[in-house]
Amino acid sequence: METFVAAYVIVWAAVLWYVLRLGTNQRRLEKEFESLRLELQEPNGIDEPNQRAA
Amino acid sequence: MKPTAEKSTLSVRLTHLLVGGLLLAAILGIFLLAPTEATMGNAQRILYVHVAVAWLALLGFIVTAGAGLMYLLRRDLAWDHWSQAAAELGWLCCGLTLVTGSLWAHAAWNTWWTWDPRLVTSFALWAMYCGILMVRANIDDPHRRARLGAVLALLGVLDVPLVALATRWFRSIHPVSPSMEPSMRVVLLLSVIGFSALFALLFIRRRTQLRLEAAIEAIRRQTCEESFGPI
Repeated sequence: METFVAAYVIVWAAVLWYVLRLGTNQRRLEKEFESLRLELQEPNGIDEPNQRAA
Repeated sequence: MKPTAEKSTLSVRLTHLLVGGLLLAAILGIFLLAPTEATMGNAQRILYVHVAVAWLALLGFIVTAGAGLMYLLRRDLAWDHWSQAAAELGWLCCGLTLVTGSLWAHAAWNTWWTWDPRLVTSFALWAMYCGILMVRANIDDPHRRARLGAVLALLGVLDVPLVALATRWFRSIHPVSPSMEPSMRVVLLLSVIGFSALFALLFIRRRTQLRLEAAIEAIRRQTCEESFGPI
């Protein structure tokens, strides 16, 4: 019985580890994407008031 | 929310539900439907997960090599993302095959490891997965990484028929399609389908991440080049 339980615990722990790793990676990518989007929008944000003033 | 976005969220939820349902059916089948084997007892139930992950380890390598070959023919990094996602999941399944197989071996043959052709070829497959992932992790240039990964996968895929047919080609103590009760076969099939669905879901997820990672990297590179000239 212990052998069988050990096998299932190991398999599901490995699957869980991979899913958690995917989740962490996804959050990191979303943050990176957001910071990149803000970086790329920055010049427009500065220019906008100047354009309005002009 | 736009109707297309709503539709895609719904289809993702339905896919998750389907995969979850298949896995739940497999787990219930393993615990409740499959009868306890006379000689090995409960330890025999390892078979239902061992066969499923072993099949996915072999399939993973075939996909890694197939996508690698497509990259070499088309030089399109999208194929490399498929290849890497398959290699990562295949490595995990191959490792689990060795661990569950070892637990089975201890229960059936009273040893954790024996130099049986099936075991040795499976270990070689796992070592090749490790090699591919280590090489990939240490190369920055995406095309060079894809090229080397593809070549290694195409060399390594030669081991797949050896693993699959080792028990028929060589003298081996590993069981070859043992006779089973019909209910055991049904549970085994359910388990293989359930794990394959989970593999497919994780495979697509990981591939999407790799594509996003590459897109972010490309934008960063382009922005840097625009500001400071070619890198």
